[in-house]
Amino acid sequence: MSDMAVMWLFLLGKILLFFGIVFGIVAPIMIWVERKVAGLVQDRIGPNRVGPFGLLQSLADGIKLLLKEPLLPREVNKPYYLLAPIISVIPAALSFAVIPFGPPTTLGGLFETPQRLQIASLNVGLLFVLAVTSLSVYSVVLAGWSSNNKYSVLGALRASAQMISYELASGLAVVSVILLSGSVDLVHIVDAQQKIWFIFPGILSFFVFLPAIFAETNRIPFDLPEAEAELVVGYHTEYSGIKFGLFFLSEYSIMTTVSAMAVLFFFGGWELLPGFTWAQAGIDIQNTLIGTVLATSWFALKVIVFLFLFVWVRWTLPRFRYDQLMGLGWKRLLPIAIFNIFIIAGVMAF
Amino acid sequence: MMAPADILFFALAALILLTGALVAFRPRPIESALWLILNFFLTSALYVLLGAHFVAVIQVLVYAGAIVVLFTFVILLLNLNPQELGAGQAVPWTSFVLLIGTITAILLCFHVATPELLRPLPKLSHPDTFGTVESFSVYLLKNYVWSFELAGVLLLLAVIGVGLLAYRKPKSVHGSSQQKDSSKTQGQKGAA
Repeated sequence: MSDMAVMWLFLLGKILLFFGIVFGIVAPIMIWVERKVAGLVQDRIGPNRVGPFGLLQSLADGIKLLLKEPLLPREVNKPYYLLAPIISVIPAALSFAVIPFGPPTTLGGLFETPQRLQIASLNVGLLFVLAVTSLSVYSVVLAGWSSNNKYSVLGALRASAQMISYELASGLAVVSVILLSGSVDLVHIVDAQQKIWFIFPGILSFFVFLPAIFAETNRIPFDLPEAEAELVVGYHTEYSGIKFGLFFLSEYSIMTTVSAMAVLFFFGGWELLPGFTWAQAGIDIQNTLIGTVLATSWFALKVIVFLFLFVWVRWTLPRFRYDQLMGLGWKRLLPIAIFNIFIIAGVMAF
Repeated sequence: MMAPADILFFALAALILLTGALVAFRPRPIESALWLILNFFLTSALYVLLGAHFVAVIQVLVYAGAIVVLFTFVILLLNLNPQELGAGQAVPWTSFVLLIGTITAILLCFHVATPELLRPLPKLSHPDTFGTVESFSVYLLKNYVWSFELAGVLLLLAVIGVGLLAYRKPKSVHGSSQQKDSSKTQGQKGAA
């Protein structure tokens, strides 16, 4: 019975740790990093008043959003208008459930068999992440449609078209990862990268996957659904206060998810270096607590590099035109992804 | 007494029917699309109850994640309102369909209530790998490889058909004025 209690506590701990870190630490810090990098790129200082280096700026903004009057525009379709921001958080939170954030571990001998650092160990983890992240478009569509505002509807329209186009490309890019690892279980995919990270055989699919995840998270250069210059801010034009805050939060947490996915698929997850495992470095990541913490931090570091890439690209590249976006998705990325599957499948077969 | 799994099954089935009805009877197309998403989710929960996790995830990925996105795209693009759909005409049809549906449902209930069908099925013993991607794909490609390939060819035909439909128009319209257009663009290029 006490074993069961420990298991439940372990599960609860994993859930609290992961959700707390992503929603409570990563998202606010990312917003701060975003504004600081924007300042750096545009040769200004950025937030520097609230807390040391302006670090508590996001907290102050969050409090402001929470305490703001909940405005409800008159002509909106009320139930759907209120539902949309809530729906936007659900896929963001659900997709964390299957992301393994560390190696299977006994936590320094606490457990007899190694436990996975993953809230739910589905054997179809990869497909689950793809399925759940693809649902994030509905909050955008719902927000755009229920706002009863032509800019919002246009934003929603663009989001749905963009999502379909780029989901195909990213899905096909991931197929080559499945081919290389022979599994759709995210822990197995990382294990399969002990010899060689999939970035080397799958370089083409990585360069299809990267723009696709930028497009799926609606980040510049693919943020057509909220292009300020054309659509005010697109689907969330009519939202303010904490309702807007939820959209904002879910954007950053989905960014964390797709960054983690990119690391798991192509950059060896928590593996140390290409062709140089933790075991070769003399560190037992499965049975010692310090090894587990090191591997988990190493994974977190890789995810942080990707998150920084998102910010860096945002303040470097201009926005695409809409036909360029569609052309890139359908005429460039899709053929490259299919071609890549042929190559990898061919090499694997012979 | 019903087992918890049975209660879950019947609750899910009732919700699936309810959401299905809402898809048909909500006035705005976009609301129907939203209920359809919920319907697909509940169906996938049914697959999870059966232990077919792979099919469940594919159900969400393909139907809720892609096909209904396409539906909502078309609905938003056409900006369909209840008024534009001709609400006056729709009423007799709706009641007619409702009538047929009710009769079918009653007949189905009678059929299901026959004693032979009410006996519980013998428990199927399936291996641990049931429903995983590996066992699913091995089974599919061992036993149904021709059906699988045929479905692929059908989809390919659909893709080619869409391509033909989309490309025919520009050819016939611009066929005569093509030369003019090309000379124009060349002129622009020269000026640039």
